[in-house]
Parts: sequence; C-alpha cells; structure tokens
Amino acid sequence: MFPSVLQELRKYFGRDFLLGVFFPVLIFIGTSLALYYEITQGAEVALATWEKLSLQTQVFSILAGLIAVTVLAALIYNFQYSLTRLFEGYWPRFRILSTLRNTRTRLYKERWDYLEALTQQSSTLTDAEKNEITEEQLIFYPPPIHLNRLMPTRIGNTLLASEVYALDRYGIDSSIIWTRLRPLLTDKAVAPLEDSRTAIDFMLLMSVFAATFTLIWCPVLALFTNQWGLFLLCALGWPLAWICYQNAVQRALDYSEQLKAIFDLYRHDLLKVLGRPIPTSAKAEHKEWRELSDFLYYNVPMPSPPTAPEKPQDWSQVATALAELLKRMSPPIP
Amino acid sequence: MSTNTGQPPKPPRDFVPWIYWTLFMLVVPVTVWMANKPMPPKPQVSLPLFNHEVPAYHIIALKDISMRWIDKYDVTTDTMHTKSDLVGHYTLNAIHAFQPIHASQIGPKPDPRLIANTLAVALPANIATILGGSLQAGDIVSIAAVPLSNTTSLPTIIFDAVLVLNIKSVGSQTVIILALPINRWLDYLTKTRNTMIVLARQVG
Repeated sequence: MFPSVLQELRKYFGRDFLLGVFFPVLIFIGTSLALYYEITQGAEVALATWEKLSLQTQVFSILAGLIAVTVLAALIYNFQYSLTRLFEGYWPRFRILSTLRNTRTRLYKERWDYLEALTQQSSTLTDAEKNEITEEQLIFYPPPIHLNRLMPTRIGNTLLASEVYALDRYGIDSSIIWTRLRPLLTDKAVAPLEDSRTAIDFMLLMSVFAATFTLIWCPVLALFTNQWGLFLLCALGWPLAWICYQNAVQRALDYSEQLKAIFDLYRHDLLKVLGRPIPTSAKAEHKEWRELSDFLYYNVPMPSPPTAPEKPQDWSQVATALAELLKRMSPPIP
Repeated sequence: MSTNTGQPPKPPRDFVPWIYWTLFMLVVPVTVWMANKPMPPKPQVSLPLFNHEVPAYHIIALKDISMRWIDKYDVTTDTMHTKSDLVGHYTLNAIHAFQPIHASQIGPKPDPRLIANTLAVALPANIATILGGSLQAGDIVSIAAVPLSNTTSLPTIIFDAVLVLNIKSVGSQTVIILALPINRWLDYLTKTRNTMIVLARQVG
C-alpha cells in the first residue's frame, strides 16, 4: 500500500516535494511519535495496544497519519524558499539578528582577507598551497568586487558566488532572467541543477528537524526520565544537523557550478525567443542584458533591435524584374 | 606579487562552531546526572491478580485472587479492576500468576450446576453448529444426536442443558468447547457414535 501511496504523491507533488519535504517530515513525525509512546507508556505496551486494534482501525490510523504528514509537508513545502533564504543569511530585520549578521559578515571578510594575506606569503607557501587557497576563495566567496555583498553564512556566500557570476560575465541579473530562461531549458539541461536543489532542500530541512528534535526531546528525557541511553541517542540529532548542513554546502557547490554552466550555454536562447539580437562583443552583451533586465523589472523601454540591411540583389534579378514590369505595362500586339 | 616574509597572518576566530559543539558536550554531564538521579516511583494501581497459575475453564474463587500493586502503564482498557468482576466467573485460557487479568481472558458467570463436575469437551463446528455465529461462551444448549447410517433409528436428545464454555477458531477450524457432566461422559460417547450432533439454544 505504502509504495502506491508514494507513487500517487509523486505524481501530484513531484520528486522535489517527496525527497525535499515529505520524507524529512515523515522521519521527524515518526521518530517523535515513537519517542512519545516510549516515554509515556513504553514501546512494548504501545505495540501491544496497536496489535489489539482491529485491522480497519490500523489501516485508518495509518492513512490518517499519512494524510497529516502530507498536509504538514505541503505547508512546509511552501516555506522551503524562505527556509533556504534563512540559511543563506537573509534574516528578518531584528536588532539582534542584524548585529549577528554584521558580526558574521565581518568574520567572513576577515577570513577572506586572511586567505588573501596568506597568498602574499610567497616564502612560506608552496604553489600548490597557494592554488588551494585561491580555489577556496573562488568557491566559497563571491569575487573580490562583490565582497561588500558578503553573506553571514557559508552556504549564503557559496550561492552568492553563483548568482553574481552571470552578472560579472554577461551583465545578467540572474534573479530576473532565470524565471524567463528556465522554461526554455530542456529536462536534460535542468535535471542536474534540480537534483542539486532538491538535495540542498532535503539537507537543510533535515538539519532543522534534527536540531529541533534534539532541542525538544533531550530536555524532556532529561527532566522526566532517567533513560540516559535514549537521551544519548536523541542528542545525536545535534551532530547530525551539522553534518546535514555541511552536506548542503557541498551540494550548493555543485548547484553553483551547474547554474554558471547554464548561463554560459543557454543565455542566447532567451535572446532568440525574445527577438533580440545576439551581441557580438562582451560590452554589447552587458548592455543588452542590462537593458533587458531594466525593461523586465522596471518597464524601462528598450531600444528596438537594429534592423538587418536588405540583401543586395544582383543585376540579373533587377533586369528580370524590369522586363516583367515592362511586359505588364505594354499591351499585347493584336 | 609582493613577497611579504613577515609574520604569517592569524586566522580570524569563529566562535559559532565552539558554541555549537560546547552545547553538544553538555550531553556528557547530563548523561551522568541522568544515570544517577533518583526517579520518583512509577504510578501504580491496585488490581486483582491470581495468586497462582490457573488453568482454562477454572471457576474463579475468592481465594484464587488478591489485590496487588502494579505499574499503571501495564494497565490496558480491558484490564479487570475489581474482585467482584472475577469471582464466580471462569477462565477462558490459562493465566499466569501476578499478571493483569484482561476481560478477554474471562468467561461469563455460569450456573454452578452446569459447570460443577464437568469435562471440557471439544466438538468440531461449522457455521450451522454455531448457529450462524450467534452462539457464544456462556450460552446453554441442548444436544441431539441424529443417526447418519441407520435411518430406522430415531434422533435422541442427549442433554437438555449444557454450558458452552468457549468457541475457538484455530486456523480455518472452529471448535465448540462444552462442559459435559463427568458421570454421563460414556453415555455421550455411546449415543453420539455414527451420528450427526445438533446443538439447539432456547430462544427468548
């Protein structure tokens, strides 16, 4: 029954819903319920009570549970974007969060400066070490001209690096252009990107749930029971949350590279569909994308694309056309 | 590129991982505290329990049971709570000593004359024998024997009133367990040889 229910869910909600939200919610709710019954009445008694229920009641309970999990997952699914933004470092404007954000941003700037200073220490570092440092700067930080936009988290900076890539290279504002470019991409082109996105969503939500699980159940177990074995088991949610976050950062690296590749390979498809000319120089391309972004976002009128010069016709075609005209003008001789 | 050969720069210190893992390290003292902390006794309830193991179809007497404290968490919705719910009833299966007694393990209160000095005898049953499923433990039935081969013999009513102790299903086979008087056991065997047994329950 469960696989068919999953199949139905997948049909309606898609892979990103199932992997990114449904399973984390199912794991969280399932383990929390198991723990609740273990604490309140003991797992054996709970299982014995479950076995005494009629088959209809058991089936109904499982279905009701699955529906509850699906509804909760659907609610969380709509907040997935906000959750990712929180992990990236786009926090609400509370004083404490602003302070924390500034502190963390300053730290990442200092860290970048430290890496930069290290590369200057040419006498103490080998070329390989210098390459590693430069690589770290390229992967985990935005380019130097965007250091004023540093985010307060590592995943935020990694994703920022991919966002500004298209802007630096081509003048593309990815937040405006992406929604127009996405429908033009083939499944083959976009699948790796969406896989990475789903993996990031899954890992970030698992990170939240693992930490929440520990923060809720560890104090409950410590205060109301002496089941220290269970307490230790629940405490493992804390390192698990960290591991999940690190995993999300790693997948963000993949995502970042794939997003860059898509702009490199498919950006001209959008221009073709919009009937815009393909720029022939980097400067023209920057200008074209900036004008397009301004038009799409601020409704700034775009200059018309230059019309193509008419194709020159050779003399034989001109002569033929002239003969045709004269023939039509002169009446036929009776 | 400059060739700065001075002191190597110091990396900035990030305190967030320190705070994070320090919180995790709290697990150790909390675990030690939990392992040694005295716990309040589990809530308990007083229940009637058997003093000794009792067999199936045993009439429960007051001396068989006593009130004892057990964990509240061992009590389920069908656990018997008072002695009066048990005394005079009979057990449907064997029950261990000092275990909570469940309603599903106890039969109704029978007429003492129908259960005293009886044998528990099992009869293979079908849907007709169990009156379409309406026959249940505690019912009183009459038993008749209808000859199968000798059509000249007349049907015989063997017992007017017999107590149905239980109806059990084992796999696809259903059996009726009856309380037959010991002193008429041989008579029953004789009269039911080569016969079809018919059970009948008084209506009303």
